Amino acid sequence: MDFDKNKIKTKIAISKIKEENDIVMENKTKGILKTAATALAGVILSTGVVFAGTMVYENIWKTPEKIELSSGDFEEITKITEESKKENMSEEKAKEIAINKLNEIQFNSNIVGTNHYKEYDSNKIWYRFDTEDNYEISIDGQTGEFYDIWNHNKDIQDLNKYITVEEAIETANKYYKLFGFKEDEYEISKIHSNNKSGNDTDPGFKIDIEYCKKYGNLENYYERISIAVESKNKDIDYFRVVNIPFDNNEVVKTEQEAIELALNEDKKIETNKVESTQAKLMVVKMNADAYNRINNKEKYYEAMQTPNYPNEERDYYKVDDKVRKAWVVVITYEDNYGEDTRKRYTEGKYSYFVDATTGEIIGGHPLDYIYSESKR
Amino acid sequence: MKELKQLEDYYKNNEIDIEQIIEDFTPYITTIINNGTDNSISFEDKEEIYSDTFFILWKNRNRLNINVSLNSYLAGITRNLIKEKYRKLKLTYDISDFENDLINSVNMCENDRDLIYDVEQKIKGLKNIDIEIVNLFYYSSMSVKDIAKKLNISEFNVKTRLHRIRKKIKKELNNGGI
Repeated sequence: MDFDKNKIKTKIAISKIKEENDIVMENKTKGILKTAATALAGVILSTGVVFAGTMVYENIWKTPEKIELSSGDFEEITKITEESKKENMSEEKAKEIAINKLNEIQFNSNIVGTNHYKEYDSNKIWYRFDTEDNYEISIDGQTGEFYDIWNHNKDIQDLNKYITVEEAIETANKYYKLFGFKEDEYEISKIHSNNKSGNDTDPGFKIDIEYCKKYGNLENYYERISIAVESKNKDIDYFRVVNIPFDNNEVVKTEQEAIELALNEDKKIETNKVESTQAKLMVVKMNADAYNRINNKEKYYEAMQTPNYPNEERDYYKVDDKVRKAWVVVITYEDNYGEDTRKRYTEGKYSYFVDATTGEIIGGHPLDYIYSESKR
Repeated sequence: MKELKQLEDYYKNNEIDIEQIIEDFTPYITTIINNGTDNSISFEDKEEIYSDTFFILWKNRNRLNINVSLNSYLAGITRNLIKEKYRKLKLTYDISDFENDLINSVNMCENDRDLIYDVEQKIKGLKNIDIEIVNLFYYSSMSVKDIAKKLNISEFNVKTRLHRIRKKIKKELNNGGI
Protein backbone atom coordinates (compact mmCIF):
# COMPACT_ATOMS: atom_id res chain seq x y z
CA MET A 1 0.00 0.00 0.00
CA ASP A 2 1.33 3.45 -0.92
CA PHE A 3 1.91 6.17 1.64
CA ASP A 4 -0.12 9.34 1.28
CA LYS A 5 2.07 12.14 -0.09
CA ASN A 6 -0.57 14.72 0.80
CA LYS A 7 0.27 14.26 4.47
CA ILE A 8 3.69 15.80 3.82
CA LYS A 9 2.09 18.75 2.04
CA THR A 10 -0.32 19.36 4.91
CA LYS A 11 2.49 19.16 7.48
CA ILE A 12 4.51 21.73 5.55
CA ALA A 13 1.42 23.92 5.07
CA ILE A 14 0.64 23.84 8.82
CA SER A 15 4.27 24.58 9.58
CA LYS A 16 4.17 27.63 7.31
CA ILE A 17 0.99 28.83 9.03
CA LYS A 18 2.80 28.33 12.34
CA GLU A 19 5.71 30.46 11.12
CA GLU A 20 3.24 33.11 10.01
CA ASN A 21 1.53 32.91 13.39
CA ASP A 22 4.83 33.16 15.25
CA ILE A 23 5.68 36.39 13.46
CA VAL A 24 2.28 37.83 14.27
CA MET A 25 2.61 36.84 17.92
CA GLU A 26 6.09 38.31 18.10
CA ASN A 27 5.13 41.60 16.58
CA LYS A 28 1.96 41.67 18.61
CA THR A 29 0.25 43.43 15.78
CA LYS A 30 -3.39 43.06 15.30
CA GLY A 31 -4.90 44.05 12.03
CA ILE A 32 -8.30 45.09 13.05
CA LEU A 33 -11.01 46.23 10.78
CA LYS A 34 -14.55 45.87 11.89
CA THR A 35 -16.26 47.40 8.94
CA ALA A 36 -15.80 47.75 5.25
CA ALA A 37 -16.73 51.30 4.47
CA THR A 38 -18.12 52.28 1.16
CA ALA A 39 -17.31 55.76 -0.02
CA LEU A 40 -18.29 57.69 -3.04
CA ALA A 41 -15.18 59.06 -4.71
CA GLY A 42 -16.35 62.17 -6.49
CA VAL A 43 -19.02 60.21 -8.25
CA ILE A 44 -21.06 61.71 -10.98
CA LEU A 45 -23.68 59.27 -12.10
CA SER A 46 -24.11 59.81 -15.76
CA THR A 47 -27.51 59.06 -17.16
CA GLY A 48 -27.10 60.45 -20.63
CA VAL A 49 -27.59 59.01 -24.03
CA VAL A 50 -25.20 58.13 -26.80
CA PHE A 51 -25.68 58.40 -30.54
CA ALA A 52 -24.75 55.42 -32.60
CA GLY A 53 -25.58 55.73 -36.26
CA THR A 54 -29.12 57.05 -36.57
CA MET A 55 -30.34 55.43 -33.36
CA VAL A 56 -30.16 56.80 -29.85
CA TYR A 57 -29.06 54.34 -27.19
CA GLU A 58 -29.04 54.85 -23.47
CA ASN A 59 -25.64 54.95 -21.82
CA ILE A 60 -24.92 51.82 -19.90
CA TRP A 61 -21.66 52.87 -18.30
CA LYS A 62 -21.92 54.75 -15.02
CA THR A 63 -19.00 56.22 -13.15
CA PRO A 64 -18.33 53.51 -10.59
CA GLU A 65 -18.37 53.81 -6.83
CA LYS A 66 -15.03 53.48 -5.14
CA ILE A 67 -15.07 50.94 -2.36
CA GLU A 68 -12.67 51.19 0.53
CA LEU A 69 -11.50 47.82 1.71
CA SER A 70 -8.89 46.89 4.24
CA SER A 71 -6.85 43.85 5.10
CA GLY A 72 -8.59 43.56 8.45
CA ASP A 73 -10.46 40.68 9.95
CA PHE A 74 -12.05 38.90 7.02
CA GLU A 75 -14.13 36.77 9.35
CA GLU A 76 -15.78 39.88 10.74
CA ILE A 77 -16.38 41.41 7.32
CA THR A 78 -18.11 38.29 6.02
CA LYS A 79 -20.33 37.83 9.04
CA ILE A 80 -24.04 38.15 8.34
CA THR A 81 -25.31 41.44 9.75
CA GLU A 82 -28.81 42.62 10.60
CA GLU A 83 -28.49 45.10 7.74
CA SER A 84 -27.59 42.39 5.23
CA LYS A 85 -30.51 40.25 6.41
CA LYS A 86 -32.87 43.01 5.29
CA GLU A 87 -31.56 42.76 1.72
CA ASN A 88 -31.79 38.98 1.49
CA MET A 89 -34.41 36.32 1.89
CA SER A 90 -34.62 34.55 5.23
CA GLU A 91 -32.54 31.50 6.02
CA GLU A 92 -35.76 29.47 6.28
CA LYS A 93 -36.82 30.45 2.77
CA ALA A 94 -33.35 29.65 1.38
CA LYS A 95 -33.42 26.32 3.18
CA GLU A 96 -36.77 25.52 1.61
CA ILE A 97 -35.33 26.27 -1.86
CA ALA A 98 -32.28 24.11 -1.11
CA ILE A 99 -34.45 21.19 0.05
CA ASN A 100 -36.68 21.48 -3.03
CA LYS A 101 -33.62 21.45 -5.29
CA LEU A 102 -32.15 18.44 -3.47
CA ASN A 103 -35.44 16.58 -3.81
CA GLU A 104 -35.65 17.51 -7.49
CA ILE A 105 -32.27 15.96 -8.16
CA GLN A 106 -33.07 12.98 -5.93
CA PHE A 107 -30.44 13.73 -3.27
CA ASN A 108 -30.83 13.24 0.46
CA SER A 109 -32.38 16.56 1.54
CA ASN A 110 -31.75 16.24 5.26
CA ILE A 111 -29.84 19.41 6.23
CA VAL A 112 -27.38 18.85 9.06
CA GLY A 113 -25.28 22.02 9.08
CA THR A 114 -24.79 25.48 7.64
CA ASN A 115 -21.89 27.65 6.54
CA HIS A 116 -23.52 30.94 5.48
CA TYR A 117 -21.60 34.12 4.82
CA LYS A 118 -21.99 37.64 3.50
CA GLU A 119 -19.95 38.89 0.55
CA TYR A 120 -17.15 41.17 1.70
CA ASP A 121 -18.03 44.01 -0.67
CA SER A 122 -21.82 43.83 -0.68
CA ASN A 123 -24.74 42.74 1.46
CA LYS A 124 -25.41 39.61 -0.57
CA ILE A 125 -25.68 36.51 1.58
CA TRP A 126 -24.69 33.09 0.33
CA TYR A 127 -26.69 30.45 2.14
CA ARG A 128 -24.73 27.20 2.29
CA PHE A 129 -26.30 24.04 3.66
CA ASP A 130 -24.55 20.76 4.45
CA THR A 131 -26.56 17.62 3.80
CA GLU A 132 -26.52 14.38 5.71
CA ASP A 133 -24.78 12.72 2.75
CA ASN A 134 -21.99 15.28 2.95
CA TYR A 135 -22.93 17.51 0.03
CA GLU A 136 -22.88 21.28 0.31
CA ILE A 137 -25.52 23.27 -1.56
CA SER A 138 -25.41 27.07 -2.05
CA ILE A 139 -28.35 29.41 -2.59
CA ASP A 140 -28.07 33.08 -3.60
CA GLY A 141 -29.80 35.02 -0.78
CA GLN A 142 -30.88 37.84 -3.09
CA THR A 143 -32.20 35.98 -6.11
CA GLY A 144 -33.08 32.72 -4.42
CA GLU A 145 -31.35 30.87 -7.26
CA PHE A 146 -29.50 27.62 -6.79
CA TYR A 147 -25.77 28.24 -7.32
CA ASP A 148 -23.84 25.05 -6.75
CA ILE A 149 -23.54 21.72 -5.04
CA TRP A 150 -20.28 20.12 -3.90
CA ASN A 151 -19.54 16.55 -3.01
CA HIS A 152 -17.54 16.75 0.22
CA ASN A 153 -17.33 13.05 0.87
CA LYS A 154 -13.87 11.91 1.77
CA ASP A 155 -11.81 9.81 -0.58
CA ILE A 156 -13.91 10.43 -3.66
CA GLN A 157 -10.78 10.84 -5.69
CA ASP A 158 -8.70 7.96 -6.89
CA LEU A 159 -5.75 9.42 -8.74
CA ASN A 160 -4.91 6.05 -10.24
CA LYS A 161 -8.34 5.34 -11.68
CA TYR A 162 -9.12 7.08 -14.94
CA ILE A 163 -12.35 7.56 -16.85
CA THR A 164 -12.69 8.55 -20.47
CA VAL A 165 -14.03 11.92 -21.56
CA GLU A 166 -17.03 10.13 -23.10
CA GLU A 167 -17.87 8.48 -19.78
CA ALA A 168 -17.59 11.83 -18.01
CA ILE A 169 -19.85 13.53 -20.56
CA GLU A 170 -22.42 10.76 -20.09
CA THR A 171 -22.51 11.40 -16.32
CA ALA A 172 -22.50 15.18 -16.79
CA ASN A 173 -25.39 14.99 -19.27
CA LYS A 174 -27.34 12.83 -16.82
CA TYR A 175 -27.06 15.55 -14.15
CA TYR A 176 -27.67 18.32 -16.68
CA LYS A 177 -31.06 16.75 -17.41
CA LEU A 178 -31.71 15.96 -13.75
CA PHE A 179 -31.26 19.63 -12.89
CA GLY A 180 -33.98 20.44 -15.40
CA PHE A 181 -32.02 22.03 -18.25
CA LYS A 182 -33.32 21.64 -21.79
CA GLU A 183 -31.33 19.67 -24.32
CA ASP A 184 -30.20 22.52 -26.59
CA GLU A 185 -30.22 25.28 -24.02
CA TYR A 186 -26.48 25.02 -23.36
CA GLU A 187 -23.64 23.53 -25.38
CA ILE A 188 -20.42 21.95 -24.21
CA SER A 189 -17.79 24.64 -24.64
CA LYS A 190 -14.80 23.26 -22.80
CA ILE A 191 -13.48 19.99 -21.41
CA HIS A 192 -10.54 19.70 -19.08
CA SER A 193 -9.20 16.31 -18.11
CA ASN A 194 -7.03 16.09 -14.98
CA ASN A 195 -4.40 13.50 -15.77
CA LYS A 196 -0.68 12.95 -16.02
CA SER A 197 -0.50 13.42 -19.80
CA GLY A 198 -1.76 16.99 -19.67
CA ASN A 199 -3.97 16.31 -22.69
CA ASP A 200 -7.60 17.39 -22.26
CA THR A 201 -8.98 14.64 -24.49
CA ASP A 202 -7.20 11.84 -22.62
CA PRO A 203 -8.85 9.93 -19.77
CA GLY A 204 -8.40 11.48 -16.31
CA PHE A 205 -9.18 11.00 -12.64
CA LYS A 206 -11.37 14.11 -12.67
CA ILE A 207 -12.90 15.67 -15.76
CA ASP A 208 -14.34 19.20 -15.81
CA ILE A 209 -17.04 19.89 -18.36
CA GLU A 210 -18.32 23.34 -19.09
CA TYR A 211 -21.57 24.15 -20.89
CA CYS A 212 -22.25 27.67 -22.17
CA LYS A 213 -25.19 29.39 -23.81
CA LYS A 214 -24.38 30.38 -27.36
CA TYR A 215 -25.59 33.38 -29.34
CA GLY A 216 -24.66 32.70 -32.94
CA ASN A 217 -20.94 32.06 -32.73
CA LEU A 218 -20.57 33.85 -29.41
CA GLU A 219 -20.16 31.86 -26.23
CA ASN A 220 -21.47 33.46 -23.09
CA TYR A 221 -19.26 32.45 -20.17
CA TYR A 222 -21.63 34.22 -17.79
CA GLU A 223 -24.45 31.81 -18.59
CA ARG A 224 -22.74 28.55 -17.93
CA ILE A 225 -22.96 25.25 -16.15
CA SER A 226 -19.81 23.65 -14.81
CA ILE A 227 -19.76 20.00 -13.87
CA ALA A 228 -16.82 17.97 -12.59
CA VAL A 229 -16.99 14.18 -12.74
CA GLU A 230 -14.71 12.07 -10.57
CA SER A 231 -13.44 8.69 -11.66
CA LYS A 232 -13.82 6.65 -8.48
CA ASN A 233 -17.60 6.45 -8.51
CA LYS A 234 -18.14 8.10 -11.88
CA ASP A 235 -20.19 10.69 -10.06
CA ILE A 236 -20.23 14.46 -9.74
CA ASP A 237 -17.61 16.30 -7.73
CA TYR A 238 -19.54 19.55 -8.16
CA PHE A 239 -22.31 21.09 -10.24
CA ARG A 240 -22.50 24.85 -10.65
CA VAL A 241 -24.82 27.23 -12.46
CA VAL A 242 -23.67 30.75 -13.27
CA ASN A 243 -26.46 32.94 -14.56
CA ILE A 244 -25.79 36.66 -14.85
CA PRO A 245 -28.47 38.34 -16.99
CA PHE A 246 -27.23 39.02 -20.52
CA ASP A 247 -28.45 42.06 -22.43
CA ASN A 248 -27.87 40.41 -25.83
CA ASN A 249 -27.34 43.90 -27.15
CA GLU A 250 -27.28 44.80 -30.79
CA VAL A 251 -23.96 45.00 -32.63
CA VAL A 252 -23.94 48.53 -34.03
CA LYS A 253 -20.27 49.45 -33.93
CA THR A 254 -17.94 47.99 -36.51
CA GLU A 255 -14.60 46.45 -35.66
CA GLN A 256 -12.74 49.45 -37.08
CA GLU A 257 -14.87 51.91 -35.14
CA ALA A 258 -14.20 49.97 -31.96
CA ILE A 259 -10.45 50.06 -32.54
CA GLU A 260 -10.57 53.81 -33.07
CA LEU A 261 -12.62 54.29 -29.89
CA ALA A 262 -10.15 52.22 -27.89
CA LEU A 263 -7.16 54.10 -29.31
CA ASN A 264 -8.80 57.44 -28.53
CA GLU A 265 -9.38 56.33 -24.95
CA ASP A 266 -5.79 55.15 -24.70
CA LYS A 267 -4.49 58.58 -25.78
CA LYS A 268 -5.66 59.94 -22.40
CA ILE A 269 -2.64 58.36 -20.77
CA GLU A 270 1.01 58.12 -21.61
CA THR A 271 2.03 54.77 -23.01
CA ASN A 272 4.65 53.38 -25.33
CA LYS A 273 3.94 53.84 -29.03
CA VAL A 274 1.19 51.56 -30.30
CA GLU A 275 2.65 48.75 -32.35
CA SER A 276 -0.50 46.86 -33.36
CA THR A 277 -4.15 46.26 -32.54
CA GLN A 278 -6.42 43.25 -32.66
CA ALA A 279 -10.19 43.08 -32.10
CA LYS A 280 -12.73 40.36 -31.47
CA LEU A 281 -16.44 40.45 -30.71
CA MET A 282 -17.02 38.74 -27.35
CA VAL A 283 -19.45 38.54 -24.45
CA VAL A 284 -17.88 40.38 -21.51
CA LYS A 285 -18.78 41.48 -18.02
CA MET A 286 -18.57 45.18 -17.33
CA ASN A 287 -15.70 46.14 -15.00
CA ALA A 288 -13.75 49.15 -13.75
CA ASP A 289 -10.29 48.06 -14.89
CA ALA A 290 -9.94 50.50 -17.80
CA TYR A 291 -11.49 53.28 -15.71
CA ASN A 292 -9.00 52.63 -12.93
CA ARG A 293 -6.05 52.55 -15.36
CA ILE A 294 -7.05 55.74 -17.12
CA ASN A 295 -7.60 57.60 -13.86
CA ASN A 296 -4.47 56.54 -12.06
CA LYS A 297 -2.09 54.74 -14.35
CA GLU A 298 0.93 54.95 -12.08
CA LYS A 299 -0.83 53.44 -9.11
CA TYR A 300 -2.57 50.88 -11.31
CA TYR A 301 0.76 49.45 -12.46
CA GLU A 302 2.54 49.97 -9.16
CA ALA A 303 -0.08 47.79 -7.44
CA MET A 304 0.43 45.16 -10.12
CA GLN A 305 4.22 45.23 -10.07
CA THR A 306 4.88 45.48 -6.33
CA PRO A 307 4.99 42.18 -4.45
CA ASN A 308 2.65 42.12 -1.43
CA TYR A 309 1.18 45.50 -2.31
CA PRO A 310 -1.15 46.26 0.63
CA ASN A 311 -4.80 45.54 -0.08
CA GLU A 312 -5.92 48.66 1.70
CA GLU A 313 -3.91 50.73 -0.77
CA ARG A 314 -5.54 49.21 -3.82
CA ASP A 315 -8.43 50.87 -5.61
CA TYR A 316 -11.66 48.89 -5.74
CA TYR A 317 -14.78 49.96 -7.57
CA LYS A 318 -18.31 48.71 -7.51
CA VAL A 319 -19.73 48.15 -10.99
CA ASP A 320 -23.18 46.87 -12.00
CA ASP A 321 -23.32 43.20 -12.95
CA LYS A 322 -23.86 43.78 -16.66
CA VAL A 323 -22.98 41.31 -19.35
CA ARG A 324 -22.76 42.76 -22.86
CA LYS A 325 -21.55 42.09 -26.35
CA ALA A 326 -18.41 44.14 -26.80
CA TRP A 327 -15.47 44.47 -29.10
CA VAL A 328 -12.39 43.45 -27.19
CA VAL A 329 -9.58 45.59 -28.58
CA VAL A 330 -6.08 44.46 -27.66
CA ILE A 331 -3.42 47.14 -28.03
CA THR A 332 0.18 46.00 -28.23
CA TYR A 333 2.79 48.62 -27.40
CA GLU A 334 6.28 48.95 -28.77
CA ASP A 335 8.66 46.85 -26.71
CA ASN A 336 11.43 48.99 -25.24
CA TYR A 337 11.35 47.34 -21.83
CA GLY A 338 14.79 45.78 -22.24
CA GLU A 339 15.59 43.49 -19.31
CA ASP A 340 12.58 44.71 -17.36
CA THR A 341 10.37 41.67 -17.85
CA ARG A 342 8.10 42.77 -15.03
CA LYS A 343 7.10 45.82 -17.05
CA ARG A 344 6.86 43.88 -20.29
CA TYR A 345 4.40 41.40 -18.81
CA THR A 346 2.24 44.06 -17.21
CA GLU A 347 2.45 47.07 -19.49
CA GLY A 348 3.22 45.47 -22.85
CA LYS A 349 -0.44 45.14 -23.87
CA TYR A 350 -3.86 46.31 -22.77
CA SER A 351 -7.37 45.15 -23.71
CA TYR A 352 -10.32 47.54 -23.88
CA PHE A 353 -13.95 46.40 -23.84
CA VAL A 354 -15.83 48.61 -26.30
CA ASP A 355 -19.58 48.20 -26.01
CA ALA A 356 -20.85 46.84 -29.33
CA THR A 357 -23.97 49.01 -29.23
CA THR A 358 -23.00 52.31 -27.61
CA GLY A 359 -19.25 52.34 -28.23
CA GLU A 360 -18.59 53.17 -24.60
CA ILE A 361 -15.56 51.75 -22.82
CA ILE A 362 -17.26 49.37 -20.40
CA GLY A 363 -14.20 47.58 -19.04
CA GLY A 364 -10.74 46.31 -19.68
CA HIS A 365 -8.15 43.75 -18.88
CA PRO A 366 -4.39 43.93 -18.32
CA LEU A 367 -2.58 42.32 -21.26
CA ASP A 368 -4.31 40.19 -23.92
CA TYR A 369 -7.88 39.25 -22.98
CA ILE A 370 -8.51 37.43 -26.27
CA TYR A 371 -5.54 35.17 -25.63
CA SER A 372 -6.21 34.61 -21.95
CA GLU A 373 -9.85 33.68 -22.64
CA SER A 374 -8.78 31.21 -25.32
CA LYS A 375 -6.67 29.49 -22.63
CA ARG A 376 -9.37 29.58 -19.98
CA MET B 1 15.16 7.06 -8.00
CA LYS B 2 18.09 9.15 -9.14
CA GLU B 3 21.13 7.66 -7.39
CA LEU B 4 23.25 9.72 -5.01
CA LYS B 5 21.82 13.09 -5.82
CA GLN B 6 23.00 15.98 -3.73
CA LEU B 7 20.75 18.48 -2.06
CA GLU B 8 22.22 21.11 -4.37
CA ASP B 9 20.61 19.37 -7.34
CA TYR B 10 17.19 20.10 -5.88
CA TYR B 11 17.40 23.85 -5.57
CA LYS B 12 15.23 25.89 -7.91
CA ASN B 13 15.18 29.69 -7.64
CA ASN B 14 16.89 29.43 -4.26
CA GLU B 15 14.08 27.24 -2.97
CA ILE B 16 14.31 23.54 -2.27
CA ASP B 17 12.17 21.55 -4.71
CA ILE B 18 10.58 19.29 -2.12
CA GLU B 19 7.98 18.06 -4.60
CA GLN B 20 10.69 16.57 -6.81
CA ILE B 21 12.52 15.11 -3.81
CA ILE B 22 9.33 13.38 -2.67
CA GLU B 23 8.79 12.08 -6.19
CA ASP B 24 12.36 10.79 -6.57
CA PHE B 25 12.93 9.39 -3.08
CA THR B 26 9.55 7.88 -2.16
CA PRO B 27 10.53 4.36 -3.33
CA TYR B 28 13.84 4.61 -1.44
CA ILE B 29 12.26 5.77 1.82
CA THR B 30 9.43 3.24 1.51
CA THR B 31 12.01 0.46 1.19
CA ILE B 32 13.91 1.65 4.25
CA ILE B 33 10.70 1.82 6.29
CA ASN B 34 9.48 -1.58 5.16
CA ASN B 35 12.85 -3.24 5.75
CA GLY B 36 13.45 -1.42 9.02
CA THR B 37 10.13 -2.25 10.68
CA ASP B 38 8.07 -5.31 11.44
CA ASN B 39 4.37 -5.93 11.95
CA SER B 40 4.37 -4.38 15.42
CA ILE B 41 4.34 -1.00 13.68
CA SER B 42 1.00 -0.13 12.08
CA PHE B 43 0.59 1.20 8.55
CA GLU B 44 -0.49 4.57 9.96
CA ASP B 45 2.70 4.78 12.02
CA LYS B 46 4.81 3.88 9.01
CA GLU B 47 3.02 6.55 7.02
CA GLU B 48 3.78 9.01 9.79
CA ILE B 49 7.47 8.10 9.59
CA TYR B 50 7.36 8.52 5.83
CA SER B 51 5.77 11.98 5.94
CA ASP B 52 7.91 13.12 8.88
CA THR B 53 11.07 12.17 6.99
CA PHE B 54 10.38 14.66 4.22
CA PHE B 55 8.99 17.19 6.64
CA ILE B 56 12.18 17.14 8.73
CA LEU B 57 14.29 17.48 5.60
CA TRP B 58 12.22 20.49 4.56
CA LYS B 59 12.49 22.05 8.04
CA ASN B 60 16.29 21.63 7.93
CA ARG B 61 16.61 22.89 4.38
CA ASN B 62 18.69 25.90 5.34
CA ARG B 63 21.14 24.13 7.62
CA LEU B 64 22.18 21.04 5.67
CA ASN B 65 25.33 20.70 3.62
CA ILE B 66 24.10 21.01 0.06
CA ASN B 67 27.07 19.04 -1.29
CA VAL B 68 26.29 15.90 0.66
CA SER B 69 24.28 13.06 -0.82
CA LEU B 70 20.58 13.41 -0.13
CA ASN B 71 20.30 9.64 0.24
CA SER B 72 22.41 9.80 3.39
CA TYR B 73 20.36 12.53 4.98
CA LEU B 74 17.05 10.91 4.17
CA ALA B 75 18.17 7.45 5.26
CA GLY B 76 19.50 8.90 8.50
CA ILE B 77 16.29 10.77 9.27
CA THR B 78 14.10 7.76 8.44
CA ARG B 79 16.07 5.38 10.62
CA ASN B 80 16.08 7.85 13.48
CA LEU B 81 12.33 8.13 13.21
CA ILE B 82 11.96 4.33 13.19
CA LYS B 83 14.12 4.12 16.29
CA GLU B 84 12.08 6.83 17.97
CA LYS B 85 8.84 5.06 17.10
CA TYR B 86 10.03 1.78 18.65
CA ARG B 87 11.16 3.64 21.73
CA LYS B 88 7.75 5.32 22.07
CA LEU B 89 5.98 2.00 21.68
CA LYS B 90 8.41 0.48 24.20
CA LEU B 91 9.37 -2.22 21.73
CA THR B 92 12.85 -3.44 20.99
CA TYR B 93 13.98 -3.93 17.45
CA ASP B 94 17.41 -4.25 15.98
CA ILE B 95 18.48 -1.33 13.86
CA SER B 96 22.08 -1.48 14.96
CA ASP B 97 23.34 -1.30 11.40
CA PHE B 98 22.45 2.36 11.44
CA GLU B 99 25.56 4.48 11.61
CA ASN B 100 25.27 7.95 10.19
CA ASP B 101 27.25 10.90 11.53
CA LEU B 102 25.45 13.27 9.22
CA ILE B 103 22.27 12.94 11.25
CA ASN B 104 23.92 14.91 14.07
CA SER B 105 23.48 18.03 11.96
CA VAL B 106 19.75 17.42 11.54
CA ASN B 107 17.25 18.95 13.92
CA MET B 108 14.58 16.28 14.39
CA CYS B 109 12.03 19.00 15.29
CA GLU B 110 10.29 16.87 17.97
CA ASN B 111 8.23 19.72 19.39
CA ASP B 112 7.08 20.93 16.01
CA ARG B 113 6.20 17.42 14.90
CA ASP B 114 4.13 16.72 18.00
CA LEU B 115 2.29 19.99 17.64
CA ILE B 116 1.67 19.56 13.95
CA TYR B 117 0.51 15.98 14.52
CA ASP B 118 -2.04 17.26 17.07
CA VAL B 119 -3.28 19.92 14.65
CA GLU B 120 -3.52 17.34 11.87
CA GLN B 121 -5.78 15.20 14.05
CA LYS B 122 -7.95 18.20 14.88
CA ILE B 123 -8.46 19.21 11.26
CA LYS B 124 -9.17 15.72 9.98
CA GLY B 125 -12.88 16.49 9.85
CA LEU B 126 -12.43 19.41 7.47
CA LYS B 127 -13.71 19.17 3.94
CA ASN B 128 -11.29 17.92 1.30
CA ILE B 129 -11.56 21.17 -0.60
CA ASP B 130 -10.45 23.18 2.44
CA ILE B 131 -7.37 21.01 2.96
CA GLU B 132 -6.60 21.21 -0.75
CA ILE B 133 -6.82 25.00 -0.71
CA VAL B 134 -4.47 25.24 2.26
CA ASN B 135 -2.02 22.86 0.63
CA LEU B 136 -2.10 24.72 -2.68
CA PHE B 137 -1.65 28.09 -0.99
CA TYR B 138 0.98 27.23 1.59
CA TYR B 139 2.72 24.19 0.16
CA SER B 140 2.53 24.84 -3.58
CA SER B 141 2.67 28.66 -3.13
CA MET B 142 -0.13 29.16 -5.64
CA SER B 143 -1.94 32.49 -5.76
CA VAL B 144 -5.60 32.79 -4.79
CA LYS B 145 -6.36 33.50 -8.43
CA ASP B 146 -4.65 30.34 -9.66
CA ILE B 147 -6.26 28.23 -6.95
CA ALA B 148 -9.66 29.58 -7.95
CA LYS B 149 -8.94 28.68 -11.54
CA LYS B 150 -7.65 25.21 -10.70
CA LEU B 151 -10.58 24.33 -8.46
CA ASN B 152 -13.09 26.17 -10.62
CA ILE B 153 -14.42 28.29 -7.79
CA SER B 154 -14.47 32.04 -7.30
CA GLU B 155 -11.50 33.89 -5.83
CA PHE B 156 -13.82 35.07 -3.11
CA ASN B 157 -14.72 31.49 -2.26
CA VAL B 158 -11.02 30.61 -2.02
CA LYS B 159 -10.33 33.62 0.20
CA THR B 160 -13.22 32.83 2.51
CA ARG B 161 -12.29 29.20 2.91
CA LEU B 162 -8.60 30.00 3.29
CA HIS B 163 -9.34 32.58 5.92
CA ARG B 164 -11.52 30.26 7.94
CA ILE B 165 -9.21 27.27 7.90
CA ARG B 166 -6.16 29.42 8.62
CA LYS B 167 -7.98 30.83 11.62
CA LYS B 168 -8.90 27.34 12.79
CA ILE B 169 -5.32 26.06 12.41
CA LYS B 170 -3.91 29.09 14.23
CA LYS B 171 -6.39 28.53 17.02
CA GLU B 172 -5.33 24.90 17.31
CA LEU B 173 -1.65 25.90 17.19
CA ASN B 174 -2.19 28.42 19.96
CA ASN B 175 -4.14 25.88 22.02
CA GLY B 176 -1.15 23.61 21.57
CA GLY B 177 0.95 25.91 23.69
CA ILE B 178 2.73 28.29 21.36
